[in-house]
Amino acid sequence: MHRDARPAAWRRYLRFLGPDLEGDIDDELSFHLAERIEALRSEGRSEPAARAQALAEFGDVRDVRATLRTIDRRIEQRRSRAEWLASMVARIRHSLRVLVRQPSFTIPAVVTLSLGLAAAVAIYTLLDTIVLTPLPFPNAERLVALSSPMPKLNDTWGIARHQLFYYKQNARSIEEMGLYRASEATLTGDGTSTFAERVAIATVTSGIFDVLGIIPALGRLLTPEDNRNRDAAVVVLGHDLWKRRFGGDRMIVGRTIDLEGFPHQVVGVAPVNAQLPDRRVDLWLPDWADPAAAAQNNHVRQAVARLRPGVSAATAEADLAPLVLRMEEVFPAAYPNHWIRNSGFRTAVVPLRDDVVGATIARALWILLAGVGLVLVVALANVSNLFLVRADGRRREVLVRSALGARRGDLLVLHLTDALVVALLAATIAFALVRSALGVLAWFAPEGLPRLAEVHAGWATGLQLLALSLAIGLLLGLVTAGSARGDHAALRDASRGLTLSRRQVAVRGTLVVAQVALAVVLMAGAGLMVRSFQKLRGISPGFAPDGVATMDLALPAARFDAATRVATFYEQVSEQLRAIPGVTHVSMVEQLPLTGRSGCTGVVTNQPGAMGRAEQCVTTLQVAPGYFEALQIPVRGSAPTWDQVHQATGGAVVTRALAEVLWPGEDPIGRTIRCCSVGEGWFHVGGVVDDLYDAGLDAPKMQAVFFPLVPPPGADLQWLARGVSLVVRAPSMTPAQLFPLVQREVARLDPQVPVTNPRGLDEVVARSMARRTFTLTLLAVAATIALLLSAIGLYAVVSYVVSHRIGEIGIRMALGARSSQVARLVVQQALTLTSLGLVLGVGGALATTRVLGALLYEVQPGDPLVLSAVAVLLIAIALAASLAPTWRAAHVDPSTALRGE
Amino acid sequence: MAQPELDLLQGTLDVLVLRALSWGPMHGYAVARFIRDGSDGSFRILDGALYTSLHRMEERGWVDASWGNSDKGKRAKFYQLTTAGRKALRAEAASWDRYVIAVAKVMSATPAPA
Repeated sequence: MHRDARPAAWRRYLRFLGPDLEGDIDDELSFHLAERIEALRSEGRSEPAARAQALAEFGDVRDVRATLRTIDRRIEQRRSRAEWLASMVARIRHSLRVLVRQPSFTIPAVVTLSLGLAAAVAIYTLLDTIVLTPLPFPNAERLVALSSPMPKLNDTWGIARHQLFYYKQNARSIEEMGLYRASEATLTGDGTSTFAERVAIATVTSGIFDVLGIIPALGRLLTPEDNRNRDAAVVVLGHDLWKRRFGGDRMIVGRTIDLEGFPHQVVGVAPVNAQLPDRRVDLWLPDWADPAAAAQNNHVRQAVARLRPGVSAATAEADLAPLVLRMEEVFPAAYPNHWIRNSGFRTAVVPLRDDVVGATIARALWILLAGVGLVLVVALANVSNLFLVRADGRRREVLVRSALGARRGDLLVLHLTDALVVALLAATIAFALVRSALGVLAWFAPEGLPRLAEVHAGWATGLQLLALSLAIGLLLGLVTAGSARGDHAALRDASRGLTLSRRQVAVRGTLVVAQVALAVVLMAGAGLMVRSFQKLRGISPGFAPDGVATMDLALPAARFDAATRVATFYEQVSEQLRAIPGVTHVSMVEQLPLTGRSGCTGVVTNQPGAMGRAEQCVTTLQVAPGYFEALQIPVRGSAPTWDQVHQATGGAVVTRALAEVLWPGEDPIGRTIRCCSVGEGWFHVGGVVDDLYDAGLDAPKMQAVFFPLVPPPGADLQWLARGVSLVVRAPSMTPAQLFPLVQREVARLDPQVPVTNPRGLDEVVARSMARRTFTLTLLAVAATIALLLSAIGLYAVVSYVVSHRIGEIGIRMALGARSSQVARLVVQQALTLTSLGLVLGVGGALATTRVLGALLYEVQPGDPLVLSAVAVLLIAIALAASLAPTWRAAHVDPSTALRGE
Repeated sequence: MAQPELDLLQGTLDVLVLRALSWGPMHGYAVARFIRDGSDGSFRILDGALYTSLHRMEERGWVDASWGNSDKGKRAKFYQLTTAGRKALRAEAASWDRYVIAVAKVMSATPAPA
């Protein structure tokens, strides 16, 4: 045979190392050629002629060989990939089967990991969205907020209109700037629909749109001309409002809509993402800002600006400082007598994100992240503990596998697969936990948490969890494999390596003690909050909230321009609503108690001297007749009736707290009072009510005056009560049932008065405790998690100890020790660890719970009742956790134990 | 041979190979012999193209390959149809029939009056 038709013989031995593609191809082709040559020879050809013909019939051998090699290589690759995949699947199925058969390992391990992962990822998502992600505006990192801190007044003011033009012209660091004010208004319909609605409005200067990167979706936005025109009645619609109320009508530009009773022309529609930094906007209205107008010392607007590229907020602030001082010369009418220098007035420039999010929230979130990071590390330590206990139990299996030829790599893969399966299971559960946690948080959080709407758990979260769990699985697998290897060495000599296990027990014991201490601190915090709640609930709010529903009314300014008109309308509403079956009382008040929004101003009486003025924080509210009866607030004296209101003879009602300040030791009834240091006439005091609260049940009692809707002749109230809270006592109906009935009656009287925000008065009371409720819930959840983790950690450590001392236990029992004595040993171990943790934890609790400070009500941080309850609960849990290992220890069969493994 | 030998297109070669293998497992030489003998020598195939076709079909999963011994005891690679291969054979054979009928029709057609 020709030399290149026959493969080199030595190549056959290469087949031990794996498939030999080249050799196989050569074999196949040379077989073919040999057969063909033999067939031709049997026809009578000579050897060289047969060979030549066979090769000619074949074609280019080298070419074909190369093609076949490529094809076969592909076949081989596919085959080994399929093999690898099948073996992976088999390994994973095996792991799952084994894990399912060991619930006492699998459940604690998966639960621990998923809790740790969920907590870490949830907080990280919050932090990332709220603090780290830039605001959703173009060039967000160049946007800043300007304000006027007034340290001497302990207050922060806004920006004045003249400052807008002055800074834009003279400040080199500012590229563009805009002012805004956010409020609400009533949209009363555009002729085709008469359904009135409260909408969020922003009164802005035209620069806002440039700064926030807003371009019109339809028509145009507001211009400096609109700002200069004092009577500009134009408006830009927000995208949501345009779609929702005007059906996305593309011909809306040029039409007129009715705002608060005044017609406004729609000049454009904003795009979908257009919003103010900290709230959504339904309508954009032009502020009156004329550079030619006189400057006033009126700093009430919010300001945002875009700085030139590369300029920091600090640089801008320094840049503005000399300009601020020069304003005394440029605007002498607004800042007379060195006002700026005397008051310490200055302009602060802060990056917009910090302004919206606030330093406290950012700091709190970072602290929380550190906290859950710690929780995750502790959870990891716990789970690795569990893995190591389990690995101990499989020593025999591993030895057998090694003896049967399992390579080190195989054993590593075994441990890795187990760890990865557990980690991925935990990650799946954690994902579900994170989603529900963030959902609950959004629904539940106190109103102060900004950018909450942007928070959600999506692909990014899933990927983070996947990456984390893969890393954790890898780590756990390696740790377990590494320790198993160490065990082999220890096993080879007869001694059981007790020294090694003692050190390991010490390390793990310390971890458990730390966990227990942390759990104690958290439980103590939660317990203190619970007691605060109990104390608060014992305080009477001063009125009876049950059975009372409340809704908001807003009268349009155009038609309700006199107190008498307002009063008449409210009386009509009261009559109509009282006619609804089930309704016993109806009234209105400008602000309900416990909303924290009552505000304050100064009042005067006709007492001479210092006694005569109460200027600190007196709440002045207008109230309709029947309010105190509706809320079952007892009144000493009398509150005005409707007749008295219409005859303008109604009197004011004061709270006892105010009476004690203005007329100490005297009867306030019959005294006179006037609001806000304006006007000439006086109101007489007709009644006194007991304690009411504004900010919360733990705040000082409210000093308030309730004025009648129509002032007596000569007296004046500087405002009309156009925005009120309606209160309706109807014990047999829920607010949801009452709401449509109220809407119908009010619409019948005046279809352009919107009724909004129905809720029960008890909900108002509950909301006043929202900050506390939120903190308590967070603490309770954290405490529960910490407790669970501690229990699992305790269980793992005690199991580990028991499994390592099985031999010793066997000896003891063989020598006559009873099960109960052995059990006592184990329990002692558990209790020692727990007590250590308890002591540490109590110390920690005493030190740290004063952080709760303001949230605690009449409870000391070191409250003995709370601490002893926590201790009892902890010991009970510790005993429960050590139950299984104790049982195992007490039921050791001495003969099996002594035979060893 | 009186007529000149015909060159076989690659696609047709595949269906012939499949048909050969439908008679049972064969090694490459046997397939070549089957085609040459079955066409009474009319088809001239390059054996190299045959082996390329066989390996390609192994990659597509139409045939399975295994090593065995020829009837003379020599080591040879045998090919066997898979289920997918049988299905492919049926499909290819059907379209071949349609092709043949269509060509015959056109060949015996007469032009329509102008």
